[in-house]
Formats: sequence, C-alpha cells, structure tokens
Amino acid sequence: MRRLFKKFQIIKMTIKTPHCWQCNIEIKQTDLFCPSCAKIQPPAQIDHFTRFSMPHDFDLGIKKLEVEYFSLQMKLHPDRFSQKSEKEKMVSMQQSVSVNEAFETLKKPLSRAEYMLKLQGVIVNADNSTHKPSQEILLESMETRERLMEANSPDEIRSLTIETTDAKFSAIDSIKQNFTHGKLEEAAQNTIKLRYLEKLSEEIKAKKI
Amino acid sequence: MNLLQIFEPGQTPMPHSDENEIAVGIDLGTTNSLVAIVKNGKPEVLKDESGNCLHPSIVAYLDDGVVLTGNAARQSAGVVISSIKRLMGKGAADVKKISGNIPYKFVESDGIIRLDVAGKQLTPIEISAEILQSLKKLAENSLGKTIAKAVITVPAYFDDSARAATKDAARLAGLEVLRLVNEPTAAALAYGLDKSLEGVYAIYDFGGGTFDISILKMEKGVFQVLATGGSVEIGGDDFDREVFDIFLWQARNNSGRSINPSALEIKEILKTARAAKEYLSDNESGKFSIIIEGSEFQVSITKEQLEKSMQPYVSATLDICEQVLADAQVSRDEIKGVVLVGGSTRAPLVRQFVKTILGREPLSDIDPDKVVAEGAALQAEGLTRGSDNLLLDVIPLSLGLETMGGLVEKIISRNTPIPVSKAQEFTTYQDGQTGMVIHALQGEREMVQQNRSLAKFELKGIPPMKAGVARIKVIFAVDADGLLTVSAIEENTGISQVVEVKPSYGLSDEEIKAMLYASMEHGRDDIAMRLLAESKVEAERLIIALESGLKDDADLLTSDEIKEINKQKLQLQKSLEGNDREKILSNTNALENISANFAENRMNKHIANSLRGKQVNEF
Repeated sequence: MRRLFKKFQIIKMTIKTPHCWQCNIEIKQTDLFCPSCAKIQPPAQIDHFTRFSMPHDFDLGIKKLEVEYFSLQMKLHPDRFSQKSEKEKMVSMQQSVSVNEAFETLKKPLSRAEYMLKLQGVIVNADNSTHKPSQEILLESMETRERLMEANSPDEIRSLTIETTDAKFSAIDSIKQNFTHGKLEEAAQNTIKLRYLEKLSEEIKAKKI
Repeated sequence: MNLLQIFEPGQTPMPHSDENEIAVGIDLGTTNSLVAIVKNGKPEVLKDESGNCLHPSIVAYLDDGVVLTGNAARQSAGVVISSIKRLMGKGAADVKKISGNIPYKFVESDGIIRLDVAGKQLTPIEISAEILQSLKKLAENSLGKTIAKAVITVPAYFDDSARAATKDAARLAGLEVLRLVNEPTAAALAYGLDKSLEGVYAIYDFGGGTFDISILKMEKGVFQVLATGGSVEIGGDDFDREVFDIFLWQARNNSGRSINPSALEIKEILKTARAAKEYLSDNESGKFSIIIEGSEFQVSITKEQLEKSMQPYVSATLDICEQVLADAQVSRDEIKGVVLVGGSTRAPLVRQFVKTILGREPLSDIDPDKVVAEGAALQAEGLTRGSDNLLLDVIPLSLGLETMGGLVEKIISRNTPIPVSKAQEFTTYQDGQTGMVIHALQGEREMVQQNRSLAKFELKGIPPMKAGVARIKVIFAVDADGLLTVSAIEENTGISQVVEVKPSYGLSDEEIKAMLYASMEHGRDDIAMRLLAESKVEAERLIIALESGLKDDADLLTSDEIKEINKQKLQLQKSLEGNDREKILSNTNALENISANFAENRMNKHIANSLRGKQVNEF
C-alpha cells in the first residue's frame, strides 16, 4: 500500500512540475530553455496571451504583439536549431508551431474576440456553440445579402463596401467596450456580427460586375 | 590513421559539424542553376572552369552511358533533357496536360512518371539529381573541400509533391538539405542584408519556367512573408515559344508550304528565338536566320510584335499580384519597393508593367539572375554558423481533406506561417463503419478533382459504433521546409496512423535506397572517376596553399628552396592536365614532402607573431 502510494506521488509530481528532458532538473512551466543545461524545452500549456507575456486585453496593440512574436521566433524557430540534435529540432518545431498559432489567433480582431470568449466558456464559432445569432443580426445580414445580389452597378458595390467596412469598425469598437466592461453576452453578439460582416466583405469582393 | 567506415546508402551518420564545413546555397532553376557560398560575410556565386556563373539546367544522356550536364550537355549529341523542373512532383495526369510542350517519351507506372531516355527509364528526381550533383562537384572543385550540406531554393508556389521531389533529388546527389527556401524569400534576404531594406516590399520573381510574387515585411533582421502566390505554368520559356511560332509562321509563308522542323532543328530555332527575345530588350527589331528541313530561312521580328505576344503572360502575372496584395492585406501605398528577380524581368515590357501596377520604380541593383543563389548562400551560412536574421515563411497553397461528396474541407489555409500544425475532427457516416479513408489534398478549389492529391491512406480498425459516434482527429503538420505530415487518431480507442506525405507522385524511401544502390552499381567506373577527381582537388588545394604561402612568407626560404618547390609544383600541375591518378598522387606527395619544412616554419612564425607582445598571464 505504501509503495503504491509512493508511486502515485511520483506520477503526480511529474505532472505538476516539469523537468528538463535532458538533465532532469526541475524547471518552470514557462521556461523556454533549461536554466541549467540551456536545452530548449517543449511549449508550456498556457493561453496565447500568457505566451506573449501580454495582459488578457482585447485592445492589445498589434505592434507590441508583433515585437513579442518576432522576439520569441528569433529564439525558438527551427532555423536556430538546424545543427542541433533531432530531439532539439523537434522541440523547436513544437515551440515555433505554438508561437505561430498564438500570433495568428491574436492578430485579427475576429479570431481574437472568439478566442477571448472561448477562454470564458462562450463558444460562438463551432457546431457546439453556446450562443446563436440574434434575430436582429439575422435580419440585417439577410437584407444586405439581398442588396448585394441585386446590385448591378459599380456604385452600388462601392457603397456596400463602404457600409460594410464602417460596420466592421463599429463592431470591433463595441467588442472592445464590451470586454472592458465585462459584458460577455454583448461581446458574443457583436463577435457573431463581426463574423457575418467579414463573410459579407469576402462576397462583395468576389462579386464581379 | 582513420579507417574508412562503410555505411548502408542513406545511413551515413552526420559528421560532427566541423568548423570549416561549408554549406552551399543552390538556386535550382528551370533554365539555369547556380551555386553560391558566403566568403567573408559576402555572398559569392561560384564559377565553372570557363568562368560561367549560370549553368544551364540541362542533362544529356549519351549512348555509352556517360551523363553530361550544363553547357557540355547543350552541345552534346545524346538525348538532351531541359526544363526538368517543370516535371518535379508531377503525376501522370499533369504530364498529359503539359506534354504537348515537352518532347520526351513518357512511361507511367503506379502513377509515377518516368522519361524514356536512351534505354533507361528515369524519374524527374534522378535527372534533377544529376544537375545537383554537378553543382556539388563544381563547388568542391572550386573550394577544394567536400560539400555535404545545402540550402536549395524552390519556387514559392511549389506544392508539397514538388518540394518533396526536390529534397529527394538532393538526397540522391549526396546533399543534406538544411532547408528548402522559397526563391523570392531568398532574394529578399539578399537584398535586405545588402541594401538594408526595411518595410514592406514586393518580390516579383519571373523566371524561365515559373512566376512568384511574395509580399514581405522586413524589420530588424526579421523577414516575414505576409503572402505569396504564383504559377508554375508561366515563365520566360513561354516567350521563346511565342517567338518560335512567329518565326515558323514566317518561314512557312516564305516557302509557301507546310514545312516541319526536325527535333534537332526545333532545338536550334528555340535557341535563336531566345537570342532574338534578349536582343529585342535593347533593340527595336532584328533579323535572324533559321533552318527548317535543311533549308535556311530569313525571319524578322519587331519589339512591338514580341511585346504583343508577351502581353497575355505579363497580364496574368499582374492578376496574381492583385490577389496576393489582397491576401497580404496590404495596400499599394504601403509597399516601399518592388524587387525584380529572374531573367524574364530584364524585358522592358515587364519592368514597365510592374512599375505601372505596383506604382514603384523596381529595384534590380543586384543581378536578377544571381540574387536567389546569393540569398540561399546567406541562409546556408546562417543555418550553419548562426545569424541575427530570421526568415518567417508561409505555406503557398491551402491543405485540406476529402469529405463526403468529393468536397474538400480546408484544414490549413494558404499564407499561414510555417511551421504549423492543425487538427480537425471527423466522424463516421455509417453504422458499424470500421475504416476511414484519409485523402490529403492541396489547392484552393472546392472539389477534390480540381486540387492536387497528396496522399491517401486508410485508418483501419475503428471499433464498430453508431454513425457519428467515432471521433477521428486528423492532424496536419507542416514543417519549416513546407512539407506535410498527416496523422489520424480515433480518439475513443487511441488507434492511430501517421503518414509522411509522399507516395502520390514521389518515391518511397525504399525506392530512393534502391536508386542509391543502383547508382553505386553503375558507378564502379564512377568510383575511379571520383577518386581521380578527389586526387585533383587535393593537389589543387596544395598548390593554392603553397602559392599563398610563397607570396606571404618567401623570406623563410632560400632561393634554391624556392626553385625546388616551384619545379615540383610545375611537375604536379603538368600531371593535373592528364588523368593518371597515380602520377598525380606521387607528385602531390613529392611536393608535400619538399614543402613540409616550409609549412612548419610558417606555422612557427605565425605562432610567434601572435604571441609577441603578450604577457604570460594572458594565456
């Protein structure tokens, strides 16, 4: 019984505190490199904001994000490990993949908003979504879509483009406000609206007259 | 004394990275190939014995089994193969589409195409490997060392099959690929470092057989590709064929009957067409003569005629530019400059179009033929010696899976930064279904048939469940070379399968191994040739070392000693003109022996120099 318990403890320990795969010393979860042997470590199970050491803020400043992204890739990209062991190459690829994924998600307002909602259990962009579009959004998008179908002059297309772009900016602005004031329900609806608008922009661009 | 170790082909362990080891940059082009290195921080394209930097991507197979490449191949009488790059990673179906333009006989087996060449059936990979091998040799001869590692450039728009094929060709040629780098990205690296460019730039790369456009952001040593696009079906070769058609039409008009050039005559007329195209870059019109059915015809062409025939191709490149700008979400005003790459950008029409459409005077201060190879060399240097710069590239074409009804579900969309890994969950659609076909595709279209099939495999052994209960997670992972690995796992049971994407058009590892064996079989004579070449390289290295030694430290020798060394050096140089390996070896040995003292004295002098003026405690 004691032996079993001991075993259990050891397993628990390895889950709780990561160890360097090379020299086996205890390391912090967020350590990119082992403080003792300097070998690259696998990506930590942390959210995208934490990966870039940035606050969970919708209004994060794209320039700042980019600086963090470049500085992490400078250290972790596989090009930095081309003369290293197979294991280090593999770990560097995992790290680089995580950094790319985090950057791609946070870069655009829509995916950033969806991700921030997901972190709080609100899902708006999958089959198992917790929130559906409001009646108002559905009606609005149907109307605009009809207008697009019937549009047959460059002028009409131009004004649709301008309206949609304005609507996108205002949706992004609302999402920013919603997150600042902790209004998740509104943020969810405005995010759904932004998704509709993005899709509409694509369709307007694709329409040739 | 080291004993030689013998390894299975493809199993040779990586040598310990040696301080002096050099990795080369190779631009493996459709029409010309180049090899470059970095010397004292500057990229330098290596020249062959005749002083050429550009080596035609041509391979000739002679009847007696001899294989020639480059200029030697162009002038040879054997079966001459050019533009093999256009066939890299292509399947039988693709070849049918383009074979009108390719005058070779094809053999097809298991979806893999082979060219019927002088009784041998060769894959494009093997033919390409000949070119790479000759570039490797050229570099070895010029540097006097063995070269085992390279960065090879590929068109940004190359799909997964073509990339995998290029990597296989390098393996066959005995080169470890440190990285496949996209051609426009390599060009950007060369420009960015040499001209210290910062900001958003467009790289317009119009080569012999491909067109690429990439939008890059360059900032503090980071070269971030924002979007890329292109076509592997537009190239400067198309202009040659247009001129060819104009010439043929004129000759037929002149003779008043339907004359048909022979295969050899076609080759010659194409050469004239190319010369005419180049001539018209600086002239308004030109007269040329061609030979058809043995008789000579005078033909002429004006710049206007040429440009009219070029227009559709150039317009097509600009449509692609528009798309890529949209993908990069960059407006024209944000573009600080346009970099021109590739021989076709020498055409005034192309320059003028680019200037109008992108609104910037294009940059071409680095030779557009050499810039890609130079960038590749810089990247090779960076990967082996370390660097303060970083290339962040993207995947050029979307990757997806076949779903119900022949539709494609995108898993990774184009212009996603690499490396990348994405997973998607699928389920069964029939009760009790125990297998599931995973079909990976690349391309932008909706339907399976419109995209390139990369690999197909079956996840077997799913325990029978109700339709929709099984949870099959398919993971796509793309590495920094842009190469895909697909794995699938049934999450309830943990049954999994991993496939490196290769089979559809590429060669399996087994086939590559067999080819390496075969090349050793055929290569018994090659071994003698190689030993001879190695002895020559060794001898030349000694001569170069001695010459530089004599220049710097002649004061360490008496005039008699100098005379003696020079005499033996001359002897060795004479034997180098012949092909007697024994003679070269003995002469090399003799020269080494009589200069041994000199070498030692030089060493002592330099050590003494570097020690002079230093205190003991500094050591």
